[in-house]
Amino acid sequence: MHTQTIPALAGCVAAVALSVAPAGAAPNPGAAAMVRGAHFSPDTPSVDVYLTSFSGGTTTLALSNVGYGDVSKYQRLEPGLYTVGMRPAGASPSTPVVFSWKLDAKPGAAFTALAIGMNKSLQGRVLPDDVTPPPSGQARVRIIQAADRAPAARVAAEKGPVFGAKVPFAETTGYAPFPAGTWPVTASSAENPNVTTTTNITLTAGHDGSIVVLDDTKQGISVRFVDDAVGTDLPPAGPVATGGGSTAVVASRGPTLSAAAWTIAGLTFAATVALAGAALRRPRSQS
Amino acid sequence: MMVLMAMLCGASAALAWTAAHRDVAPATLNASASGTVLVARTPVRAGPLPVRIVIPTIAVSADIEPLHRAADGTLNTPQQWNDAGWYADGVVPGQRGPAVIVGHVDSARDGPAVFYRLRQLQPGDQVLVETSDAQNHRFVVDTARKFAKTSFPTELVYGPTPMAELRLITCAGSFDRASHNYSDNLIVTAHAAETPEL
Repeated sequence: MHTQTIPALAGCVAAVALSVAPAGAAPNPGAAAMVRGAHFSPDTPSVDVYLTSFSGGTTTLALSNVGYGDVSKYQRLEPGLYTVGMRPAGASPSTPVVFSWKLDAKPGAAFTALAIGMNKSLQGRVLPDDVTPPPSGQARVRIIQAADRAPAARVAAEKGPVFGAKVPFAETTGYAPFPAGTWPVTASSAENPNVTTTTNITLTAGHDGSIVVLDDTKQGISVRFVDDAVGTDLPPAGPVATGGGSTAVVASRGPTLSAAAWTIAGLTFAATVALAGAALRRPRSQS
Repeated sequence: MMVLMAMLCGASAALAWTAAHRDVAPATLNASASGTVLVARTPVRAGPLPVRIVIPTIAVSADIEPLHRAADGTLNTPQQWNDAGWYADGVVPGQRGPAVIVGHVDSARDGPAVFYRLRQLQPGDQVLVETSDAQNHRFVVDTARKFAKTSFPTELVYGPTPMAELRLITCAGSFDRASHNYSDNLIVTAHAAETPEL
């Protein structure tokens, strides 16, 4: 057991930085970040996921006993820098992690911390999860290809969209918009057409999600859909007209408000005077 | 002052809806000129619907009206000054995604309305939404910010979220007597309290 450096980490972190700062705006400053864990390594036993804050240094058991194919619910996370680590399920927190990587958790942003690949070449990644609205009538979808039995997978709907033409095992795609609706989605190995599965997948307009391709419990593969974020298709346009104006500050009536405003102004003035007085009285030897 | 405000609230609640109010949706809904397809007015919903909102710290306890988009695409507003309104073609409070509840800050003539004190909400304050199955969904305020109506943050309000969230909206800023419109929207974001914290 060792701490593994992940070559893809730098790329991951760059992608995180890009995805959470569209057009230079944080999605929702003051909000929490969100993180979930997932296990996509077919031959790796269940794991526990730990988070360690850079600032406090405290380690939290975020998720326990995450097995192959599991995608946890999201948990809220104070924004900041974290180390995400995984240990075999039930292992003591004092034992070394299988691997660890950095998570820059921005407010309002969401992440999936996942283990992927075969055990001998296990990789840990933190994927930024999309929270951007899809175009009207569409869903934004990515593929997480975690089926070892399909070294490269084609994921497509019959007479419908092609979600991925040749996605290698242990790779994930970026999000792309696809028409909403229920699609019979077939995932199959590009090399071996006998390795194939078809499942009805419903894409809901306004949602962001992941199509996950997995080895099944027998000899084949399976495919399923996981909602990443849920939004509103065709949101109402523009602002909301929720006021009649009778308490507006410019109103000639509304004496209660004027009184309140004067009280606040008075208190603010008094506080300012008090502060100024305190500042003047302060000894100047420190300058 | 609180007593006076309560009296004003009561008075405005007792008043009938005035036809002069500009937020009333047109009686008939025509296809828009641009050919945009409007969403169904009464979507089929299987689950529970929000019926009441309670915000203890600012003494809000109000019925919830279902709201839809007006013909011009904007969100209709509650017919009663002291009702809140829920965007019924969006997310149900307590389910994943951003549920949107709006309320008037004041009436046209009779003082404060249901969300008059929304400006006093602080991060950490609780908001309770009761659904028709008698469940109470508890939310905790994260942020409260004013936005000019000319730059309304549609994505912040309606955009996808990984977890169950709530947005409360009312008016703020200065009131333009010519257009009968406040300059800003006050937008409160909150998250479902039962969601696990790390």
